[in-house]
Amino acid sequence: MNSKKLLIGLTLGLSLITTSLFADDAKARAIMEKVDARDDGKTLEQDMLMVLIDKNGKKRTRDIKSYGKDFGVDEHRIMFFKSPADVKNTSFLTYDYDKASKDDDQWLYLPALKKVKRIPSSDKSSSFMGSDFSYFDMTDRDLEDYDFKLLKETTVRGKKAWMIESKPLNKKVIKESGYTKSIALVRQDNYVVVRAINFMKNGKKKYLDIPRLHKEKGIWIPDEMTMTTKKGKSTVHKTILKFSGIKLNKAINNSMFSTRRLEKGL
Amino acid sequence: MHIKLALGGLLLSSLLYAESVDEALDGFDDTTVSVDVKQKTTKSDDVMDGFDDEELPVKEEESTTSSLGGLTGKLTEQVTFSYSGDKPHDNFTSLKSSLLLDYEHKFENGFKFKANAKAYYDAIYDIRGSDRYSKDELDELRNEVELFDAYIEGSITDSFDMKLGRQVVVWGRSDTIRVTDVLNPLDNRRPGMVDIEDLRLPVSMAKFDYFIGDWRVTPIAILEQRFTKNPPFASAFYPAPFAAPADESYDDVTYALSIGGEFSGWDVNFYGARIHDDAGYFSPTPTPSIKHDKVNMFGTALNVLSGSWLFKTELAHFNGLKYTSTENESFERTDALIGTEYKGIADTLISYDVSLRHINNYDDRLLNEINPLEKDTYQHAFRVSSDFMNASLTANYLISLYGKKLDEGGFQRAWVKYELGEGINTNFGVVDYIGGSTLFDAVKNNDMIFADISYSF
Repeated sequence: MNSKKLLIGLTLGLSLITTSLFADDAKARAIMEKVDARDDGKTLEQDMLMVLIDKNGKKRTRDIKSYGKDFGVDEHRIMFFKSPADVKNTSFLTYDYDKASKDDDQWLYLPALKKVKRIPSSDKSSSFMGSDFSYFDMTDRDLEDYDFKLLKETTVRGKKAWMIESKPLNKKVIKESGYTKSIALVRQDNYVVVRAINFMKNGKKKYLDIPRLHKEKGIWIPDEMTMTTKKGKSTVHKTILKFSGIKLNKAINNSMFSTRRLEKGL
Repeated sequence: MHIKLALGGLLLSSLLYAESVDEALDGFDDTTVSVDVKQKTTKSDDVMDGFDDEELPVKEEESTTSSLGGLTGKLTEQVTFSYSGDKPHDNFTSLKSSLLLDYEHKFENGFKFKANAKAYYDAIYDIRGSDRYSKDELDELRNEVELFDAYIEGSITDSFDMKLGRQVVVWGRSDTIRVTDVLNPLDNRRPGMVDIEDLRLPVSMAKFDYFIGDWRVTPIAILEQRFTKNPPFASAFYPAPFAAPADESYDDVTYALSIGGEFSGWDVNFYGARIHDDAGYFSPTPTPSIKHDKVNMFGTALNVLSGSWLFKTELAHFNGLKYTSTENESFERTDALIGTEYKGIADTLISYDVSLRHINNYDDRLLNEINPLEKDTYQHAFRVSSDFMNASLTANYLISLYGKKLDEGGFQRAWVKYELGEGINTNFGVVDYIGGSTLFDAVKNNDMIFADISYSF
């Protein structure tokens, strides 16, 4: 056996051992499938207050009105910025397609340009509107792209939860998401991910927390969520999203999700 | 030996992995009691610490949400310094204070009225002495009050919208080069220095949109004939040693039509217009003036999306164009643009556009124009913009160059925008004008540094 063959053999052997050590956990996957299948409503209208806080405590706010609607397996969303004055009347429309091979359609209306502009899909790890949430955080994860492992049972704010680790199956998913792995805490009574840690490629970590949520028409909806970016123990930046005026499964005309509406504003 | 080393390495990496999980989760323990289902030797009490352990000292500030009943505005102070300019346009060249007021009112029937106006005063002319500048420059650039948008818009039926009044209608796809964007003139008095929101000058129009499925049909009547504002005589960017005559005024109505379709992954528009030529030509009779005869324009624009790439094209054909050096002869011109935008790098946008303007029935006399015209004119524009610090700082770079070999002049501009606080933004940058043609050689000494601070309310 020459050295090249030995190297290939070792690599194959190592990958098999690695696979068995981090093999997909059937129970964890079953939990994540229930998380994925959880009913989140057909339509959602809400006011969103986005508070951006830097490491020195300097705060910026964005007041946003958002509408979302399921179109089969696809989702359409439109957001209107109401304040502050320098971003007022900016609006953003996205058609989020379930089919991974189909590019999302996105349009932006910038009052300064006075035109609706189609925009290409961002690198998914890009910041969503300057927040700690990335575009990837705002979309559903494809469970087939991950191995899951149940780490332990625990409690979060007095509620029983599973701690589940997810690891991307390939480098493409890591590149797309910007995360090398995630650990999620899933409440056992409602299958909502109430806390998660995302491990970033650059060594930082992003902590997602949903401190408040409520049940409406049988569906669990967050009232507030935070995403905190940390380097080591230090906070780099934090985003708080507060939701109000929530209207679930209220009829929303399809014309709401159009460039016509984007340019006319609220 | 190799296998032992490999297994040893794997065991070590597993131990490191277990420790890193606990370390990462450190901080959750405020509200958590852990039960280890797999009897892992993890430090359960530490597991959940990283969430609430460090609250940021949030500085409470009043929200800037407008409470002025539909009135918003922006106050800006800008200073520019020309570091290689010719007198009197050297040293500090502008100290401009401006106020933009915008009023918006929504009626119960869904109609909306919007109006905005901007006023500015440039103190540099009085500080340095107004006798150093031409009357034209003082009249045009020292102070101004300008009505921008003033329109009413609404839906008449579910598929029919109207918008009446002074407005901007942007045609085309490119943000940097104008090919089919022909309906609104520009404020070109300080090229490369005008805010994008003030760049296009609104024009009174009656615009109607009729929607059929994925298509939109937009007939437009242009009720006001305005032309691009060029640099005033003897100002820094005026290229000739003599004053240009005034624009001829027109009070007729011109027409335009756009038909556009939007689909998943692509969109297309077709345009047609019979409008006054914005550039115009000098006519000595009956009185010396810049005439803007009517021209016909037919065009199309297309966007195609592919992942993080957006590809765009524009094509426009003009006939009826007249030039100063060719008396009453009419010309046809075909303009084409291809471009792309790329967003595949986190928090970054890169774009490149190139256009070709081709005069179909070219005449050598066009070389006698003040800005000599070749049969083919190429323009390139490259732009990159990157967000940092959660988009509180944006770095931008734009270079626009003419010529097939990028050697016929242009400019480059680099600037950073920083959000100082709620509604308070500052810009700092540099503009470099590059010679290479008669026009750009005349203005290449206007390189400048600029800074501004604005407060939006």
